[in-house]
Amino acid sequence: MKATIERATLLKSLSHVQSVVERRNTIPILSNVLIEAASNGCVKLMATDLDLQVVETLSAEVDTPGETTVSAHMLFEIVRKLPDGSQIQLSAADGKMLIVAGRSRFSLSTLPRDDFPVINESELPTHFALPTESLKQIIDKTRFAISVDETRYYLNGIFLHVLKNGEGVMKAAATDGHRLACVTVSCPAGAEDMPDVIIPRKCVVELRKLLDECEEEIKISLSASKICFDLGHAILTSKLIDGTFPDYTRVIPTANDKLLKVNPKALMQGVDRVATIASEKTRAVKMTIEPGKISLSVTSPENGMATEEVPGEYDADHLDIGFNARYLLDILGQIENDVAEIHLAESAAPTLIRDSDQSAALYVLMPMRV
Amino acid sequence: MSIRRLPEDVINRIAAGEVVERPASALKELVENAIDAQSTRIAIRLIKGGLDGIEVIDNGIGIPMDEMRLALERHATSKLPENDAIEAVTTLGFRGEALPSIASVARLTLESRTSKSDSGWQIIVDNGQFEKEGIAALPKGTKIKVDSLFSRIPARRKFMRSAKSEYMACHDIVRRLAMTRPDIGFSLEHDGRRVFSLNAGETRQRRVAALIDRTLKDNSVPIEYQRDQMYLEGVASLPTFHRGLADHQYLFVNGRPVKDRLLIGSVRAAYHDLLAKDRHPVLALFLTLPGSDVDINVHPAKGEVRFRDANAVRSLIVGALRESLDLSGFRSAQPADVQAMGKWQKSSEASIETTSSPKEDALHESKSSVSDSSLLFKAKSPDAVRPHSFSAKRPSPSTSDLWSAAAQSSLPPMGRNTTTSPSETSEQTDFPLGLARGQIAATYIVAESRDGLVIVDQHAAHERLVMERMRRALENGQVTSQRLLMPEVVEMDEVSCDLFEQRQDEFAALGLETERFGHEAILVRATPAMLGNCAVKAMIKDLAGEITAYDQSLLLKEKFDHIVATMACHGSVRAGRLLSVAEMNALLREMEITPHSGQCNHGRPTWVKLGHKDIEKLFGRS
Repeated sequence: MKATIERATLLKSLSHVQSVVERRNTIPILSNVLIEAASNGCVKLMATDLDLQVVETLSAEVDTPGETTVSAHMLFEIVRKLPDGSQIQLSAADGKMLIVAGRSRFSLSTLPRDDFPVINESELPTHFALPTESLKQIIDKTRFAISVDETRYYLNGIFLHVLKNGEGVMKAAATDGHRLACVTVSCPAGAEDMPDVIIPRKCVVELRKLLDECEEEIKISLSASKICFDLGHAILTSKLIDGTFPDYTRVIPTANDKLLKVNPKALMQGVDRVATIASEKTRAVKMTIEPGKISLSVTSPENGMATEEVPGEYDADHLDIGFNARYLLDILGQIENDVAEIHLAESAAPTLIRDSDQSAALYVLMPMRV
Repeated sequence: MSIRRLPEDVINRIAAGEVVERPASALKELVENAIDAQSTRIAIRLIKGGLDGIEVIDNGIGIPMDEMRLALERHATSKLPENDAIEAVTTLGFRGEALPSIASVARLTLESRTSKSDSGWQIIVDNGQFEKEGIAALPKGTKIKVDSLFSRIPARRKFMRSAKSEYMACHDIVRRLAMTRPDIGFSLEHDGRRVFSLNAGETRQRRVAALIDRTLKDNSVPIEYQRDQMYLEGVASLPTFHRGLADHQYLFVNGRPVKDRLLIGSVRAAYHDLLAKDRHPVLALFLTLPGSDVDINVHPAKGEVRFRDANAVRSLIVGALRESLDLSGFRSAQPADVQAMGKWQKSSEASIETTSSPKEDALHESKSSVSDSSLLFKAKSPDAVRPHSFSAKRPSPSTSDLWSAAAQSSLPPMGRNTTTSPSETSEQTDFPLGLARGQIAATYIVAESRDGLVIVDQHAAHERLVMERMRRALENGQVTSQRLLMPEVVEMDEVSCDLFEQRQDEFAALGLETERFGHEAILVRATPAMLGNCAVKAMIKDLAGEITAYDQSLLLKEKFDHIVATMACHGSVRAGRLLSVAEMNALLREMEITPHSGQCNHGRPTWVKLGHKDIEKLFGRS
């Protein structure tokens, strides 16, 4: 194999590829990136952690087609440190890969290509295309709520499903058991009969990195166990979480009759300020809501107390309710309008937060007992 | 086969199955009889762990000649009062089963003489069959010899362990009984070797220490506590004195050794934030309560009891231990560990004679402190106790005066941070942990107190102080709990669920809100906010397991403590940081007023003291 690639192109692709590779591996070949040079001037870079696989295609000057695998992090570090604008020549032979750029030469040990595990991309019966903007919205608005609790592995991802009642909507949801984020988009053609899937967090994170430089539409194909995103220059394939996502629609309150309208930025700043006092482990903020104003307060036995008033539109009965400041900030940070709607019922009941009844995203937050 | 009444010897053999299962249980019955006979001296001899022979000799009231044959009948006893009120029993035995049971499975020689009679009488019974009787020569008291135990019951014999392990069981029984009665002298001989000999009329602390571990004496707090009709006394080790096994924890109820999981749970509760989870304190607790509040007639061997109000007993034990440990304040295991001293001394040429005498002095000193302290505990005044607990460490006044004079005149201040002024030196007597003189390796504070040299691990000490402060704040503050979006259903067996349900109010107070969900599940609605996003299922199951095992659960509190401890660790002075003298002194003063500052969160000491005696020893000057 022998190919020459422009540094910037190689660096960008490698940065995507190497983040899939885990830092420490028990199987040596998983540390490596597979480099495939084809005679048509295409070089493919591929990396996997056995659950997630990314393939990047870039154009290069290929002298001799061929393939090899080298350490992904090592190659990335080398390319990153090479001077901008340099042409990088990769040539592999006899278990070594030679990297030459200007006056630098590196010789890396390789592993045979045949050992490299590849996730089978065939047998994905459902195909549809989703606008890039919709996919971005789904990820941005829900991923903060993805659980990190490994014991409930079925919450470690974004749940994507299509309502089977013919309304033509696709819904994405994520929860960690304390809060829920849910986004509704219109169902793309071809997805009507798709199975319900849970996309793992690592796939979501890597996908989001790739989305910024993508075209109009992302082609998605999936089965009950695998999903594949075709982004043009890159293809991301991931196994799905094999589990049942809880019926989250039941926890979305529908009868919360106390409506509070408030400027999300003002509320965020207020919460952030008073939460300074809170102990780092609990971060409980108490909201006392009365017509015309919200009082935020935090009391810490060690540090003292803080209160702040935030104006808000409210005409129901007086209500005291506590929230985890971090959760509240996460959700308020997602509100795009100047007004956030907070639907409350009582101090122990789930609270619904959203931009307006027209908005695609909605959030449910469980209060704290303070 | 028709139904028939069983012959007497079969009945006895069946009863023996309950009472006498191994040599140790026969021995227990015999020694209890000796204690009940108002003896002041009991000698025990064992051959091959009791398998080949048990001999118990006492100097008690003895059995009149004409009652001796009756004594070997079943349900014949002198220990029940005339009105047969079992509840009012004050003796260890009362069932009248032990002697005939033993006699039915071994060859038993009973010799006894009362103070009134001129000569003793002897009866020999071989496996339930009367063999012979006649005059015997012995002083006042009773002598019982049991040979060839189970020789006619091969089934039982087959299940005996080695002589070694039977001996261990016998030793344990004698040890327990000897602890209950420091007023009686005990001696134990095994295969002709004297194992121990204890004098009558010892103090309880001395007796317990003699039986468990000699060093316990200097590393324990006495306990004396009364609540309503219940009275608890005993000895508990300081948190810095611990073991890997919970084998040296003894509970005695009305003078009766008892094995009860209530003790295990209470001890864990009392020590839970002072010791690492896998370390166990050493203690012996003697509980006295009205006979009507406890049922001892649960099992023939009387190793178990039932309390009418188990919760009251538990809270008494926990309360008493906590209070005594709180009052011990900053004390840690001290003086300097004998072993450590030994290592140090290897290089010096101190002779054995010189090392032994100061040790005894130390013993006397702490003994006197013990009697002081029990008075103070009754007074329950923390202010009064503080001066006391370090007065114990003060040597005789004359030595200390000489020494402090020497310190002022000839000792140059050491350590680069030292800015000691003469006024400070004169104040040093006021502080049990002394005045800071400097730092070693930027890790240990060296302080000079009136009676020696104090070395403090600055990180361990400060960590403990920060943790105690944070915990106080936590206790005063409100518990916050985070409600769950989707209540979690935890499936467990019905018994665990029932037990869990009984305690759910306690858990709710700590922020864990649960409710019963059908027969075999618990529904979790909210979790303590401090635990963050925790694994609910595993936690509930652990809690239920703990309740089943110990009747209570400390797990949640332990989890909180762990978080507090981690925060405390980050928020405290690390090893390697240079401290000014003012900072060091502030730390020492705070340790003196903070309870439990004598050990770190894992039971290691935060400070050690090298007394003047110890220092003199190191130089071979004593």
